[in-house]
Amino acid sequence: MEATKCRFRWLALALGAFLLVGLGTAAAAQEIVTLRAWTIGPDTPAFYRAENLKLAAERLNQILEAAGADVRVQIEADFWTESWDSFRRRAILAFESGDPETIPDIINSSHLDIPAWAGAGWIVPMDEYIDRYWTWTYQDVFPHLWESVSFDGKRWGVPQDIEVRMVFYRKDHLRALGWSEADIEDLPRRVKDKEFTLDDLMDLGREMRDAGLVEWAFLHRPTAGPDFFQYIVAFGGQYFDAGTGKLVLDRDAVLKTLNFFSTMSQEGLLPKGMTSWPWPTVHRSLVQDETAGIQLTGGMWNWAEWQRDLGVSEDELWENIGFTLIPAGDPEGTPNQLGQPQAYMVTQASQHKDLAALLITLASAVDLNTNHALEGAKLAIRQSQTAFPTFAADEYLAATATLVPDQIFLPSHPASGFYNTVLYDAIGAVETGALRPEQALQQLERRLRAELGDDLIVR
Amino acid sequence: MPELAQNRPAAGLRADPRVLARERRRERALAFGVYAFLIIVSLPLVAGYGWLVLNSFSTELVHGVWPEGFTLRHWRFLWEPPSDYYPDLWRTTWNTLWLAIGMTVTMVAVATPTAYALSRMKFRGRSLFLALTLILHAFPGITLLIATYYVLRTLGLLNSIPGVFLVKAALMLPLGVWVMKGFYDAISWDVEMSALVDGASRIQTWYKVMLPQVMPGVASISIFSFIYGWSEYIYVITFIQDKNAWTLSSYINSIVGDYRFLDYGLLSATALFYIAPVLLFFFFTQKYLMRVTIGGTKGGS
Repeated sequence: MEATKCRFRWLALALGAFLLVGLGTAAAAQEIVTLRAWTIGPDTPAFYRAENLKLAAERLNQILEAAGADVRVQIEADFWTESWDSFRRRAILAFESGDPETIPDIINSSHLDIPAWAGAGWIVPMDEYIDRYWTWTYQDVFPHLWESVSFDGKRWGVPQDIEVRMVFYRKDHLRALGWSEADIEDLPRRVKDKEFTLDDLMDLGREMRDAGLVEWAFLHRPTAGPDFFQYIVAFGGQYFDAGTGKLVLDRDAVLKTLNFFSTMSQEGLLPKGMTSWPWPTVHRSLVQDETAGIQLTGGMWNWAEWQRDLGVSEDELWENIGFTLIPAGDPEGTPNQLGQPQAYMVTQASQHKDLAALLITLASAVDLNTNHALEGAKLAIRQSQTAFPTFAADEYLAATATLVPDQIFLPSHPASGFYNTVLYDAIGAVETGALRPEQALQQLERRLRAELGDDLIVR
Repeated sequence: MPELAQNRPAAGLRADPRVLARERRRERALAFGVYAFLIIVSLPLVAGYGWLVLNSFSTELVHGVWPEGFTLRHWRFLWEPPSDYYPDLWRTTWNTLWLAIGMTVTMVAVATPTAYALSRMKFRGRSLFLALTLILHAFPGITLLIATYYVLRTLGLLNSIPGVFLVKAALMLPLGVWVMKGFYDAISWDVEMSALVDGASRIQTWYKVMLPQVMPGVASISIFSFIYGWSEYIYVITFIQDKNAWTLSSYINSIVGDYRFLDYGLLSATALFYIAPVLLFFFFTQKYLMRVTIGGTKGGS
């Protein structure tokens, strides 16, 4: 029965594809339709974001051939590994050019870009396509991922992956401090149950430093990123009001967050110039040189980078590196981790929107997305993936998936990226000692008010 | 003055060997000091280039400086791209050359006659024009980035090398015009008048009489333009989104990134590949550059 259903689906897919591109080119010789896609890592192991589109095109061409259609699809998929800033600059400049020869048909980016890009009319709503291919593919996409790509009541993208951002720590340093294996294994549970808080984490960092185990007890990402919102939530704050759709400045929680980073820096637990470190040094200090003890803003994909780019074996990582939620900062706070889904989007300038959407659908197949999850250390986007043999057999993905219930997202708000930046600037200012936490908070509030006006709620 | 006269050897007389020796020692000490100073201040630069060379041919640099093992592995980008997502290196090199040559030709073609007109002819608004070119040069190019983007978009020149070299040349033209004007100003009026009196037209006079005399100036602005074009970065990454139209500066920028685990060997090799043509070019043309002053030529050109 299942096999019949499956055959029917393939047949329907073939027919759909044939109708989609074949009829318009009747009587022509075999036509090649070229689609262009821009995707981004920037972490190198995430290259399946581009490769899956190529594999999807191969599948589509097999279907077209089987259906006797005189059309073939060619995909020029690009994968960007420079930086988010340069990728977004490139995308915005291309969109602004208005030139269909310059603008790609498909773009893969963070869900945070959706409000701005949708508002500018650069990408198209995808509800029609999602509904069209719902039974084939999209019916078992985790529902919360649809929320992340929604804006203004429409879905503007197809979720491509989701990850967990978390605290990484060196287990060998904990052993050196006298922790038993059972204590170490129990740490994530204690964090989740709020038995181990950010105060305890700070004390742990002090112990590592005082015992001479590390040069720096703590490190964090050296670029702006959504990770720091995790600390606002850990201190009991909010950054978005779902009722009004406005961003929130929770002064108390933000001040506690700034104090937290300021204290670490003042006590020499974290480099004062952390915000100017290069990324590779952050990774090497924790994983290779062992000169750092705790990475406060890790991402689950780092696991793949450390293996692929630094040559550290997975066994070694399991032996020495642990991970957990961001601990609660105080009794009102919540242990959490932030996920930032990426999504495939179809551009307004595309001359082949239907075909682009079909290709995205094929690239969202369970096996292809699992390739990405395994290679890039990302979580599943579809329920059926969790039962897919290679996915289910992966110990790391299974372990990180246990953190999913405590996941938070940045809101789909056009100014989320701006909030991100000003928060990071404030943290950098208190770490270097340029501003006291209270001053940094005032400056942050001024900048947010100037940018958002009435679209900001200050509590 | 009799004391001085006593201390100096009289003309035609043999100098005191002790005085001469002392003079030589002083000159040597002075030369040594000058060379020592120049070596010390240029050492960081030389060390930087040396590090690039060592790094590009070594399997590893112990403590970041001491080479260990010879390899050509870092030069593999010459025959295979660092990843599937890089454009062809030779196409990129051609784009870079096209940009440098395009800019050079544009600069010479526009600056040379413009400077002649400004140097030799009187017309209304000449002073204002000269002042305006200086003001234009005072604008940092970066402030015009968005405006020029829209101009290129309107002209359909985005994503094209000519778009980049036209903008870059336009912003560099004031410098070229002023340098060339200096060269023209240094030529005596008599030379030009002779040609005109002999019946040559203005164009003929410029082309046959003046131009050969300002060739060092043409060479200078050509060299400057070529080097600026070859090393252009900000306009390339702003106006060009298509990787097939990348130049070497964007290629290397992509290798560096800010997120990647940088392969320093590969970076060093590509950087050497990038600077080698400029170094060669400079080596063969530096004598022309040395003649440039803002007032025209220096020495016997």
